[in-house]
Amino acid sequence: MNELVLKTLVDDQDAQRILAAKAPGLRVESAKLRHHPFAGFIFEVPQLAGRSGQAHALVDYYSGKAFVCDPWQAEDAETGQVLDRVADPQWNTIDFDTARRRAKALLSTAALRRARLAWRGGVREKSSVAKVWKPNWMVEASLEKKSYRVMVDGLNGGYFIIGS
Amino acid sequence: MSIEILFLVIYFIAMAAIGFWAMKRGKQDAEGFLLGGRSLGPGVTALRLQSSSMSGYMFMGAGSMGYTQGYFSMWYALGDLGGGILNLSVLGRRMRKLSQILGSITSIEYLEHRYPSKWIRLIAAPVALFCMFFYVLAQFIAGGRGLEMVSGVSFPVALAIAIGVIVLYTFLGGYLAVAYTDFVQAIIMVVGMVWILVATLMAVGGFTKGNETVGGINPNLLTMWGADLGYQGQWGVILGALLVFSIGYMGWPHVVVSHMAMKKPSVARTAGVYSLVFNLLFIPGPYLVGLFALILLPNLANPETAIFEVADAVLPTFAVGIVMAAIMAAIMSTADALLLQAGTIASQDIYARFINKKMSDAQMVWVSRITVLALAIIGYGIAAFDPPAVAAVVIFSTTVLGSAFVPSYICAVWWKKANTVGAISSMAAGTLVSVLWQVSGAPDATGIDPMVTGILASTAAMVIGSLASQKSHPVPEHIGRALDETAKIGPIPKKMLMGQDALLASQAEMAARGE
Repeated sequence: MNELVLKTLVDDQDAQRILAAKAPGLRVESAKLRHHPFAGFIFEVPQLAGRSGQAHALVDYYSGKAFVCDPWQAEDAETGQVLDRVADPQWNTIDFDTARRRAKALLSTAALRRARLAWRGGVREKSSVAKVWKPNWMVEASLEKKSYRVMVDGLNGGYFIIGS
Repeated sequence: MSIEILFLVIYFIAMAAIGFWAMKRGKQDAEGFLLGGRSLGPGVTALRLQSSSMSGYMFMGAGSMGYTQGYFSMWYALGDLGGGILNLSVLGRRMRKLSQILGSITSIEYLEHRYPSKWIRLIAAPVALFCMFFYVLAQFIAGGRGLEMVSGVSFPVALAIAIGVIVLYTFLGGYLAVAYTDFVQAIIMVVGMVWILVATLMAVGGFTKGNETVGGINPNLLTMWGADLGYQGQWGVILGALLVFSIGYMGWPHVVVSHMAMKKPSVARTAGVYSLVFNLLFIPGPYLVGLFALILLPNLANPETAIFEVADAVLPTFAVGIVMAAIMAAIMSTADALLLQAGTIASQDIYARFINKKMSDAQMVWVSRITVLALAIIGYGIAAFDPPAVAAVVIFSTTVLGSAFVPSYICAVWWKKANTVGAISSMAAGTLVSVLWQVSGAPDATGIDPMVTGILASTAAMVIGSLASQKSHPVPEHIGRALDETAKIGPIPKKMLMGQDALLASQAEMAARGE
């Protein structure tokens, strides 16, 4: 099974700065890098006027949600990083074929909406990666004597509060 | 050729040129093609969103309401403003979080994931299509009326041209509809609308003088109870007016959208705030122009053309052409978005789900094309010979959608016992009661708006249906767990809460469970 680990573009210091910018006084107690599994696909997507191009898509194995995304940047293999993989909660977990269908449906719909009805279809899978591991920071932080647990996206710095 | 038509033609040629230029210099990769406009900032994003959602209702329905009912129309404006705030606040946040956890992309898919049953989609998709047809019909009529006024041709001919152009745009718009054309169009529209409002206020001698003059024509128009005070104490109607664009609006499939791309979340957040500011500035405008049109044009044959006629009366000729073109373009882009959404529902939520599970993307395109053409032909058949009022059509369709879907959306996140039976009962009861109440003439007889009866019926059906079937149709365990996670928010600094990226919801909750 082919796997790929996405490069962590936002480090723990960046994560801290992002949260502190939103809540001055917030103190990060710890930041742990965890990896979430996606199925990855590269499709050839016809555009208009005979043009076509590549598009990358990721599908979350645990929720089934598909995304169009930027081309992947792989983590340097020499770092020898040991991944802290998120365990399968068995909620809506999907298999690889379902992920493939969802990715293709998403790209077809997106292309149709963008190109309108002059689009002819013809989305074709070029390659796939069975497991793409996406980095996220699990941050424990405190502010005014309250503790917070926040996830910070290791690719773009977006964050989500898990609890307090 | 009139100067307005000339400007209309020049405007569309300019938009095509901008589109062509942007396409040539744009990135060639598919990501750039699929996620067009992703690199734009929040201000531009907000303007683009608003230009495509400012439909024919704002330019025809709102003006007509102001013209015929005075400040009573402000109940609708208040609901419209309140809806935006409500959607941004607690309700929207929880809904976005749950839809992410459940992995839903479309609103109908979200309902089916939360209330697992094929019947959810089987009921929701046709109801959504039915209501979207009426909303598209309103855009057709608005486009036809605008073209009729500008060109002087008869309404059926103008309507045929307007529908033809809209359908053509739906087919070929991909060549033009790039971020820059939407943005330029939005700028012209905003400037145009503000220009019309300012010129109108100047023409009537200012806001206070204008109100005094309107009071001289009919003092009742200055109250919020209607031209003949007919709505005084009619709280059923007023509640309906408030609810239709606040709660009802949330039933629209294109409102309950989720982010498709893993893009930088800060842009979407700030754009939401800009959109709210834009709404605060923009929404009262058409109602006020409609109201003051009574002074400038007291004998309008069709109050729905109030904004167009006032623009013609108070703006310089060249500006009328540009503003009219921008309004027509806004109507066109709203109709285009709705038609594409209808095509998607028909192809993915109905055809691929129930008829051909192995639908290819070429088949998807064909189902969408046939759906769009069918809606256009049926729309022309209805509108050409007995065109209903734009405001009435928009309010009717929003009422039905709101009644059908809003309790299911709200209970999905706020009530753990809400189950599939409750949701199906709610959607069926909301649709039937609101439609039957309207067509039977009950609003006039009882003074109660169909939005009120519809939402009461669908809420009651949700509660009764869910409670009566807890044993036979329990809420699945994984849904219960997802709801627990959705509700798990403590006291969090507001700035942090507002800035969250909902796309991370499922990853965050699942990572947290493992610890």
